[in-house]
Amino acid sequence: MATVKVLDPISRIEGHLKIEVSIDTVRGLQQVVDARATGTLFRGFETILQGRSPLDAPDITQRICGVCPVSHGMAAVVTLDRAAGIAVPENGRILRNLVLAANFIQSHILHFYHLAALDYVDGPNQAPWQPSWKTDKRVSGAAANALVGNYVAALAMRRKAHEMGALFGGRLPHPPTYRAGGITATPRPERIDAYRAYLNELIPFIQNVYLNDVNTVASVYSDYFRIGKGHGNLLAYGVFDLDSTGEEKLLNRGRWVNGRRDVLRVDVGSITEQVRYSWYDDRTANLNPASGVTTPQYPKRGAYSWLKSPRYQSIPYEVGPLARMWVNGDYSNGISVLDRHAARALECLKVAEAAMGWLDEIVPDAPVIAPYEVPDSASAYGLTEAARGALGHWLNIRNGRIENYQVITPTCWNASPRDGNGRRGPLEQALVGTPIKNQAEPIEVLRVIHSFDPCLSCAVHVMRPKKEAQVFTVAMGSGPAACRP
Amino acid sequence: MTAVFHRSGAGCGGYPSNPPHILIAGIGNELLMDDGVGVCVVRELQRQGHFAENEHVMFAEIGTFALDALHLLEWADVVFVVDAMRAGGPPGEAYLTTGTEIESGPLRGSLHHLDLLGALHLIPGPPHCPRFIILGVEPARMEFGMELSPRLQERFPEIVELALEVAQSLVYESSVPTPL
Repeated sequence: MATVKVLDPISRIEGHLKIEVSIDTVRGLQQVVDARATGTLFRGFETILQGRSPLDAPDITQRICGVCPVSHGMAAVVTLDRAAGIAVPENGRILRNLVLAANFIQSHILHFYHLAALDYVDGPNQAPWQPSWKTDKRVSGAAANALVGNYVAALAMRRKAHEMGALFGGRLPHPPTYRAGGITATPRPERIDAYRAYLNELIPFIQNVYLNDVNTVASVYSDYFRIGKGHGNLLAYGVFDLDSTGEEKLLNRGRWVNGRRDVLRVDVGSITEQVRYSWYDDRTANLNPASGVTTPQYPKRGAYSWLKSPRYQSIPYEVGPLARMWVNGDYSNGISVLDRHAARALECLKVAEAAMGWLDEIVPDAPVIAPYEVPDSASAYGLTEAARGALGHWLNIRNGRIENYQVITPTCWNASPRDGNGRRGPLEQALVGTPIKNQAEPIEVLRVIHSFDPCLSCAVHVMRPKKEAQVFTVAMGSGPAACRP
Repeated sequence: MTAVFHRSGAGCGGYPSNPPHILIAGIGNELLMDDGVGVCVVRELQRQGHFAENEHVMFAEIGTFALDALHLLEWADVVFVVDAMRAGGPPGEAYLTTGTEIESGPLRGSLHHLDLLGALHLIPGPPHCPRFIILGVEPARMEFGMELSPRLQERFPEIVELALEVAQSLVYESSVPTPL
């Protein structure tokens, strides 16, 4: 009889991603035999956009997520560019890329050191690292101390990457310079120099520290090159346009089907969203997001997630750095927990080095933005990549206003529930077969989950006082002196 | 490199900066109605032009990802947080409390849910533990939407006025020689 274990690894408060795994002993090995991913993100952000000016989309969609706002900004402006048939000036394309590159770099560093490393190494004996699970922490002694030290260094590096992005983003997170038609930052020489100076610190860190620490983990967890494979289908929308047509990208668009030899092309029309196991009306199943409808139905028999199931020709695909590096021909070692970390670190370096080259392509005093007029009516989509995988926005404009806006995030692909054919989502499938040492501390499950770098909405951040806390209710209109006890 | 970590949130002795740096921070997601009340209040204070000439006071819209505020926390000696707070009162009720009275949940293997107090642990170097003053507002509705609920809209001018009074008092207190 399998034991069902519920893990709520992502969110402290409301639980935005909940993973339920069944653990049983098969052929003498205790392992995960089934998994269900429950996303509690309701896609109501999309309804906020209806009726608004399309020009609001970059600012509003960036606030869906505190971790990948730049990618939402990019998806929104690309969608708007396409809706009006605007060609973005070269400088605009390059500066947008530079802000997004900074976001990728900070996100990858953050992910390895601050979201994933603690699955492999025990932190210092104090908050916020303790209490923690002790099972199977194989990085120990000097290597562990070094990794924890780098954890702190990584915070500083991540901040530098943020400051670097803000040079052309205006601020980070939520850069306000991403506009339809281009960008509103000017590439002054001192800013270009400042960006280069940041890269000159970041690139050695990625090369000598980040990649080295991934290798340290890999050297003692080589079994994780065989754990967490999943369906083995990979999808990338591609990102970092290298010319104004977007045909050529640093990381190309494509998909790879398990067992096939070639990278296949992506036809956007083949993407549909299924809702058989999601809390949405079955009549909205299998729609392309261009005509997507979000009609909640709760409760619903058999349903267990607020995420829909995006599928390509009805097949589940994994998205993320491994998918991007794979379809681009930059990585082919395998598909597993450690391959995801390795591909992510290598991509971090690739993006940082490419950004260095883009700085030289900026033409001083050339335009950064093209005049933009909102079309009276249009349909468009914008595909890009967030650090954690393929991101798409779909827009319908009617009478100059947003009629419909649909967002498919990378985590919708990866953490999706079963589809109409009963096939598990990529993360669910990757969990099946994961060996479990200690049922009370299934750290192996967290390793598989974190390797996907799931990002659900950083939605609710309400504070709560402790029990018996000293909290004073304040009478309105009186000064603070009146609210002291 | 040796990591130095510490427990903080309550203030730990004198202020390193003189006069002390005061951070006025709005927290929350403005796409979720009343969850964003802190951001709305701080933005309004800034719009009204208060402390514009005072370089020891900084306004910040921290939003939802506390880790991005680490450098601001490092700068600050006093952090005045405005945020939604569930403390059991009627919607629109305002509460004043301090950093030591707020739940800071354990990290379960992810920093996605790191809160502002938890983020303090991650500042390396010698102990830095700014004093936290928190103005909480009991939310009425936390659903998808960019406007505050009618109840909070009604209370909004009073909440802003209250926040201003707290801020002015913090700025005044920190400008006199003896720390609080």
